[in-house]
Amino acid sequence: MKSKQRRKANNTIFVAILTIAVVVWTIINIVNVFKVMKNAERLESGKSTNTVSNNITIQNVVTAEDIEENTNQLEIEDLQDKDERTRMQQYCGKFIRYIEEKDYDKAYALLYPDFKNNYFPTEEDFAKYAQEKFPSSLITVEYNNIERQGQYYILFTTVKTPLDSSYSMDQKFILIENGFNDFQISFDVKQD
Amino acid sequence: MSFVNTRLKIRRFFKKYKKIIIFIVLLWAILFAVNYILKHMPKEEIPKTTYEPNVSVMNEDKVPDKLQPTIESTIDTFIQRCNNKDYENAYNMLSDDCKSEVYPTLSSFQKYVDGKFQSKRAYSIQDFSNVGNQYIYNVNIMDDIMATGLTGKDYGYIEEKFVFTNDDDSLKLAIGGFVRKQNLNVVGEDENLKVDIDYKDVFYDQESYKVTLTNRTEHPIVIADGSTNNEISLNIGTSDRNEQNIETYGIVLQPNESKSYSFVFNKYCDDGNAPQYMMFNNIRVLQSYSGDESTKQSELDNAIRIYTLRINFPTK
Repeated sequence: MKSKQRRKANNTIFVAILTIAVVVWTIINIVNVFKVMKNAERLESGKSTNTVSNNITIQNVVTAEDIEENTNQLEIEDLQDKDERTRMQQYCGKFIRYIEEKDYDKAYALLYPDFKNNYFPTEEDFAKYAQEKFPSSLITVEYNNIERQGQYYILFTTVKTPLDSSYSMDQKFILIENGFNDFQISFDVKQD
Repeated sequence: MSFVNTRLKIRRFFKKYKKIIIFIVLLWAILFAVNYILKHMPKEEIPKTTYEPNVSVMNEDKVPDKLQPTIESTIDTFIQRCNNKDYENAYNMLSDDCKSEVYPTLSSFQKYVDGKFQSKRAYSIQDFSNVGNQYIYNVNIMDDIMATGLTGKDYGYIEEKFVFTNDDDSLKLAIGGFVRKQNLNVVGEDENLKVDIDYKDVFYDQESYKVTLTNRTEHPIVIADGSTNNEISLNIGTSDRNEQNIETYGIVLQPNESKSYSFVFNKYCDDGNAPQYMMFNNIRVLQSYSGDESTKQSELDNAIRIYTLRINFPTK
């Protein structure tokens, strides 16, 4: 009678141990499967990175859009842990960088639509203005003050260049941030 | 022998508990898969800002979540209607009390719109103070600064108080800082004077009392002529507030004459104080009144009575 009970208890322990073993084994296997999947993904993305550096040998694998998308992703990651003041300054800096690099189409794309309509109906108008008013290279921006009015950020800056100490332009920039690295900008147009 | 035994036991075990084991493994796999998918779903990252439009500046309490979208869309619709000079529809958004007390006619409202919305305006909002079921927002109205880039202009804005009252699950909008109309029906009287205080209009930073004064005597009574700056005052428990405008017009009642006035006192509606009483500090019942500065003193010297009258407000 006693031995029957003992056998029953042993069986229960055995069943429990086996169940745990099976579950752990399954978990380990599934985790491994996902790890393999992840590694495969990483290898895939590594391939495209390699092709960027070796684009002389393997051309047309990474498009300009891909590079832009990657850059955008990196910029977003960089912005994610920044406070709003720093983000606004980076946005403003990006706009200025486009002007500095004569990428007027990219700078123009950042302008607020109504602002474009009011002052720069065409990209050429904007390029002409930028060439006239901003230094042709090495543009520096001093951020004097920032104010927030609801969703609007108003940056009070001074634009300078180390190449010409006599050049200095007070410039207000107005920004709206729709998301990380997704913003629109306008600025006070110098009429003279 | 023992190995065979173990094998048999394992076999038996799997045979016996096959269904349960399959069920556990399947359940676990499903849970794992769901967890993995949720973890790796692309999250929409929203930039963190310090801007909290629905948290009050004064006491840092939050407007109820369910009211926030309605409040924001109401302000937006109102501003857009004002921008589009859609006077009637914008006017119809106001509460009945706000219409009757602040903008009694459509044309008076039209003047407000034309004054503040000369060109297309942008705005920003910030909950300023919450009092009971009322939510007072600062609405800063400004040039469309994104469209102008502040070209040729300095940065500036007009601050307006929009008040939302949550009554019976409907939100009522009032502008111009108007908070509410409150019936009082308080009467104070003596043998010379009867004072009827019908109601008051509460604004964010002032209260306006609608008062009718009746001279019960056969003599002229001077209530206010600018002799002192506290001829009429309001006690709010912690301090007295002097009436703001009577200095400009004065109050003289001819025998048996009744006149109605609006007495305005500075008082913030969210200061936590309840008005206790109104004081008429310098009532002069005169033999005669000429209104002439040169005879003022002699008229005062011959006064029948000079006294004060206090009118208490009922305590809740």
